[in-house]
Amino acid sequence: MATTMSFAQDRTVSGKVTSSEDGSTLPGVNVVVKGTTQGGVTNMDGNYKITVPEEGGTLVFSFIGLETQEVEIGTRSVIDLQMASDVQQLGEVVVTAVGIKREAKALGYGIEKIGGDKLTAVSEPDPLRAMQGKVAGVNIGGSSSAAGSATRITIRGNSSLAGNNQPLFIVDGMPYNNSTNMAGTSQLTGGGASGSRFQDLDPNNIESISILKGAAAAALYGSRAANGVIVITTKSGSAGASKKGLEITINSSFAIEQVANLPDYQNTYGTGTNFEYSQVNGSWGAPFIGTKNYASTATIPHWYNGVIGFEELWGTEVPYQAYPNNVKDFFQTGKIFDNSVTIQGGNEKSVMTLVASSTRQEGVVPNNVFNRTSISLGAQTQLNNKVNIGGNIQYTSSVQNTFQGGANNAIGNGSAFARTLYLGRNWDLQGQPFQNPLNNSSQFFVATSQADNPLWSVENAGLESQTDRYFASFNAGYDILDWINLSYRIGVTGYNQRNLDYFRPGSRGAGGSGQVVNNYTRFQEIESNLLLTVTKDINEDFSFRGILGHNVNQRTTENQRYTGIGYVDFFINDIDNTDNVTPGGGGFSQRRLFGVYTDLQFGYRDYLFLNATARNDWSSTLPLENRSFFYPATSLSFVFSDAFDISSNLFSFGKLRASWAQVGNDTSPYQIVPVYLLNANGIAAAGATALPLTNSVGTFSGSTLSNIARDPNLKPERTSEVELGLELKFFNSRLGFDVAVYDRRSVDQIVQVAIPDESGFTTFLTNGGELSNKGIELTIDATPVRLSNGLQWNVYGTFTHNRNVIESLRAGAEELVLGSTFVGSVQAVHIPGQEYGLLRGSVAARDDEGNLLINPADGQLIPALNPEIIGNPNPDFIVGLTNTVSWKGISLSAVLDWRQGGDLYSQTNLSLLGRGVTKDTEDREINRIIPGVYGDVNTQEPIRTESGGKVPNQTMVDVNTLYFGQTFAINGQDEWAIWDATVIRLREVSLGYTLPKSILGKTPFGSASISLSGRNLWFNAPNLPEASNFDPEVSQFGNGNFQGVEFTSPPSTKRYGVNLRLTF
Amino acid sequence: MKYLYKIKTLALSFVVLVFAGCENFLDINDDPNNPLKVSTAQLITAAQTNLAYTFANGGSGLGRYTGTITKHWVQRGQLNDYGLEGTDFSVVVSWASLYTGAMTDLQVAIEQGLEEEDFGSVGAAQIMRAYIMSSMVDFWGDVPYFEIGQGSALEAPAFDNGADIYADLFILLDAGIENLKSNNAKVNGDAIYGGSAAKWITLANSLKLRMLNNIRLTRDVSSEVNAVLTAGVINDIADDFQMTYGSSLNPENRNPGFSSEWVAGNGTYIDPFFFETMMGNDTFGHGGLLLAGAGVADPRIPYYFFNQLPIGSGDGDAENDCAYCPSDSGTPFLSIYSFSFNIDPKEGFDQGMSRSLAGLFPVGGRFDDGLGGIASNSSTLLEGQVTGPGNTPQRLLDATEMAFIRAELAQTNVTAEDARALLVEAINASFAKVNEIANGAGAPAVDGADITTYTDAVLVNYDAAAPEQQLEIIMVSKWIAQFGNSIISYNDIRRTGYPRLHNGNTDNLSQTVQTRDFPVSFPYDINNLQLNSVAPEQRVIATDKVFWDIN
Repeated sequence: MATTMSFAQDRTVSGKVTSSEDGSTLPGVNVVVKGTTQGGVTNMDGNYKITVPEEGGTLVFSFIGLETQEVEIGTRSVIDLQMASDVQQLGEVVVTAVGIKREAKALGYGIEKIGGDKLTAVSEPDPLRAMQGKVAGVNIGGSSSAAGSATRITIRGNSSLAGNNQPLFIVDGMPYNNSTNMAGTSQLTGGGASGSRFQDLDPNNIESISILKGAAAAALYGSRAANGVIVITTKSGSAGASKKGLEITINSSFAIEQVANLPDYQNTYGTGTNFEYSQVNGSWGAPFIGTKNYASTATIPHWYNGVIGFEELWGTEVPYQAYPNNVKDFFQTGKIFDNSVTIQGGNEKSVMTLVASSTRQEGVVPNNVFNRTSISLGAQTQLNNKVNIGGNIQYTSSVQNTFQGGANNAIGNGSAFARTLYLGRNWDLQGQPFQNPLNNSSQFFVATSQADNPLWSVENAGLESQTDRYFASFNAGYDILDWINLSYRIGVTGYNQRNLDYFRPGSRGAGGSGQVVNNYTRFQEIESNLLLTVTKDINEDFSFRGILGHNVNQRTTENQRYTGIGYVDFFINDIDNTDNVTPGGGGFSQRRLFGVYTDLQFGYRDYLFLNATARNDWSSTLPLENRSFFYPATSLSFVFSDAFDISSNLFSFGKLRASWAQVGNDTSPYQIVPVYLLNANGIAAAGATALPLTNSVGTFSGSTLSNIARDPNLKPERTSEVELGLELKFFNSRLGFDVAVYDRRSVDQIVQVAIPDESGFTTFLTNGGELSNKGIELTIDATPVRLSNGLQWNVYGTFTHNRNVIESLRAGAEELVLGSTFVGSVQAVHIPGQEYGLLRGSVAARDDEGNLLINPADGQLIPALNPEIIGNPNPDFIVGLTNTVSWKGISLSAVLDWRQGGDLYSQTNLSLLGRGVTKDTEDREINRIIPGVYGDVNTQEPIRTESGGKVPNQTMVDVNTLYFGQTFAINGQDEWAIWDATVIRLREVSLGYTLPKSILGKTPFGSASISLSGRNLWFNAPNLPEASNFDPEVSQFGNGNFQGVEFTSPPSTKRYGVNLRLTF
Repeated sequence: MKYLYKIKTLALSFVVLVFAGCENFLDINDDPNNPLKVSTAQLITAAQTNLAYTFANGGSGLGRYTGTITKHWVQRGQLNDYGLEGTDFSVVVSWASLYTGAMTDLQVAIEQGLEEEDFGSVGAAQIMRAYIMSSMVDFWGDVPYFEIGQGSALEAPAFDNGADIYADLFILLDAGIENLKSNNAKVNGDAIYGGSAAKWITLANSLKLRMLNNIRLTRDVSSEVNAVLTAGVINDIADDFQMTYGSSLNPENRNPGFSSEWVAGNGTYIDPFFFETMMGNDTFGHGGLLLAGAGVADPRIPYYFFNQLPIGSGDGDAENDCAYCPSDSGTPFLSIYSFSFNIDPKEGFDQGMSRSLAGLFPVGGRFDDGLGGIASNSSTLLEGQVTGPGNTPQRLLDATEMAFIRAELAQTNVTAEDARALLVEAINASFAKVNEIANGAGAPAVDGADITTYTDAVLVNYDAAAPEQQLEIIMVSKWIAQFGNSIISYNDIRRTGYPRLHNGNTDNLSQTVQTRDFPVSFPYDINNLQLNSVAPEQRVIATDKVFWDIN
């Protein structure tokens, strides 16, 4: 696109501009003669040729992100130049809402940008988890270590009491649905670690991610912006021109994965009770020979004694001994292969990018795989000087196969992890058959009604999910005048997902009958955006850019579920292979949103920027009279270092920013009128009578009034936020601080308030309640060492503290139940004045002074009548620290993160203690007295002596009872299963080496780099039982709001990977 | 000027683009898959299946819950020692499904039925509401009634006095009877009586008799009882109020007790106290006499219980060390004791394939032919597994109960009927019912001679006893007959004190300790209680009695 202006008396200068970093050519660099308008830009090969005055003159070379250079022309006619990155990067451009690109310094709100290169080469197929520890203000938690499982991300806490709190994902201008679709109805009572649909996005195709944290940043998205927005630009979507005409990049990585940490098991006592062997779950039995001088049990009857099908084992004995590795040997070494090819090419008028990649992951649990194959093609072309058109298509196939999870005690469930982490210490898991030869059913050391053999389970039960995801968008732009641009983008994204959830016959799951559940989901989203942009400098001091936009969005979801019971052929997991099939839950929903918005930006002398936005939305899901709502926002950026011209070597940059904005949230479709549920009778219990009913009287269908009472005057939720930020840079920008504080209030919460059942309904969907998030985000970016030989040490730290408080609930409501586990077990509740989603559960009875009441009959605890708050799952703060040392193409980087506080209800830890399998309970040949006073079990009052005094407990219990009775673990109250989940973790370590150009000069490669990486290599959770080595970064509920609860989760994993990247 | 023209055109077309077609574009908020109205028949069926499930013996059913309290069953855990809690599954699920399911659907059915002049359906709906509410008063004493079912218009319905509710229910039953007497009245969607108005009227009178008997200690109910008897109560097992189940597993149409108890390895234990009483033994040094058939084994045993161990099994044949073992009774019956939770080490051992289970009569399991087998309700049986028909009805109010009530009323001089004759009638009705179910399942009928031997033994004891002990014999006999619908026994024990149940502290067993008193009412669902701003305090279940329990 070099242009040449011709003056007869002038001469020409030409040359080539290259990058000082890797020697690549730089297209698009501005080259002008200083003090004139004479000049041009470099072409695709980095070459320029311009006309310059006959004598003297200075050329100014400039390019966004690179340090501007001035070169005296002198008498030269060829001037080649190397340009380096601008260390201050003041001219950095970030992608903001609706894809508008803006200079970072003009932004009056916090925005976080992550380059795509930070997400690949770290052995993490999930781009969200690859961001862990790197972004302030964001809380990212994996739900499970299972390959392909969902990830939860919240930005600045939760803005909705019960609705969606996940941010809006925007990929190349199109919303990108991140739902979790399961075959089952709950991840608690069945199913497993299902994925969420953001995982369909290929990390290899990510060019950059902008995280719009505050309301002001996200305000242009109106009713979808309340939870923040993650704006992703893909390589195919941006279709950037290559620095060469054609560039091919190959990225290839391989990683192995292992269980991060297993509990330290005791290998002294086998199964049984009271130091005697028996065939039970708990390892409270006799000591093994050689461990104690009194140990005398040398052999035991074979576990399968009497089991039909194992007649040859009847009457045989097996050694009574420890199998120290019976848990460890269950796991395998996982593998991740990731390969991608990126081809970028084009000419001055047209550019094109093709990305094809494939990820193959095998988890540490046998038969757990996640495979993703993705292909994307994007192109842009200029039809004439005024019209640009482009398009972007992406297709992804995601396949996840995983094991059955959920809480094993749920009716009809059979988890692969029912007993896996607390196997009896004398169970020869690997040495005994796991399948009954007669009928292929599960055979385990305890009855199948209790648990499946995990080796059987991973082969004969599981979940499979296949998703075909498409993405197609088209855009066109027209420069009506050189300062007015009209652009339009329309696109459609969606997916078809098939889920299969199965138990073959002979499992604990599905009552042993064999069951296949199929669930089909179709999702489609259409988004259209029309933008009119006016860019006009009013005079030398004042600049202006105005945008007028129009947005239409439609989302359609349809799903249907079928359950087939009874297998015909044992090995075929297909619904046609079952005895009878019933439909079980399905739905259709469609919603539309219609919005107009404007974005006005004023600049004064490049140091003061005012931005005002406004949006009005009309939503199909709200009542006619409340369907229109308006969202204003304003922000201010003041670069005082420029304004007062106080920059120096010591103080390089200073900026203050302030913003205020209002955004909102509508509701789901069909929420404002009560409906009847067909073929339903209103009983929410597993195994309940289902309709239609066929009995000796006849065949009857039936319908029940839905249990949700509706508010016909429902209004949208509103969130307003004030944010203040300060950016400071010192020592030539080698030390930078960015601090943001915010106060966000969300009112008119749309909630399903629980109302008493006697009202005829269980909940009422209405507005009410206020939620606040106050927080501080701090980023430090320091380069303590930067030597002339290229050695550099960079420290990048983030600190996030957010306090998410329920300010009020609907008038009259004392609490709101966010979620429940099992009836009578742990719940998450909102209580005014308290933090979000506190855990409530059963507690032991105490007297007025807080002493535990002890049952005099047995020395154990007495359950209290009423449950109480027992935990707060919200972390106090999150710290991320990245250290990077680089020298001559070698780069060593480590990400450490620290999550302080937050409680976890952990069934795994409860079971490890209660089953007596870890070193925590090994010291057991002693009796103990629970501190407390005797109490009356009927009245829950302390027992008084005649003089009115209380009686201290003197009744001893053995250690077995301490963890198995009405005491501190299994069978005890929920409060004893709560642990502080503080964890410090070495999240990521990577060592990279980029080959120098000198070596590559004679090869076809433009660049080559190799890196080694490790993930989750070390962690320490100091407040969990010591021998459990438990990683609290697991949760039952994937990306739902109910957090801080864990049932039978697999252990977390660590990875070691190698990554190779070549361009040519 | 040219620029200005361009801008104007642009602005205009922008506005057109933005607002064109906005009118109906957003009017898509009607759920295409769920209706705003359904027929009354649909609501009646939904309510019937809801009601029956809630009172049955499924995982959350009140039948098994009260059965554990009345020592028909033993569940591991605190319930073993009367540790009822306001978070118990049965409490929470039953409260919710009755109020938000059956009661609400029946309320809509009544409103809709009156509009459509479908008086038969209205009458049946009224009787079912009376059935549900009287039972709820029996469990919880004071419960919301007069202000229920108004949704968000009244979020805190008052908890009404149980006596006031009972009084109103008698009026409601009369209204129901009147509606059912309308011309050509017929109940739509009736999966219980197939629509017969006459049977519903008999049921209404029978329910009145049950309620009058419940409150007989609070006032003189003689004249009302006589009026109800004149009107006619159920006296033929063909008129029993019961939900008949099907055999389909998917959708789940089977007896709820069968679908939960017969999941392989998952069943609940039978209380050895109940079993030994039926065996004719005075158990565990109980201290009193359970006089019913003392010395004669009850011929209903193989219909009531299913032993997974075959005849001839010894203690060593159990999969683990047993608590109540075959050697204790000389039969393959295997169980654990009440009051032994966490005391008896053998109580916790897995006996999924060895324990005795509820059999054919209560839940639709298998008639015990002595051959044993691993109980399963799976659609595909594995080697060694056996199953039952699964379609046995859930009895809700039957001819046996009516006869026993009449015997009690005669014995306590409320009526002038012959208590002894009614006791015989009741026991015979129970045997007839067992035989009806056995016949349906293809199992052998009870031998007539065995019935006579047993009945004669009961009558010998009855004739020899003083009047108070005669009442005890009637109540113990009723407790035995009620197995499968233990809810009635829970009322009977509170009203009469009979049967005197196993006491964990006075028995001669070292592995049982009773730390709590018999619960005289249920705890409220604690979470629901917190939602209702006018709700009373949580009930102290050891002392807070329901209004008719003035013993």
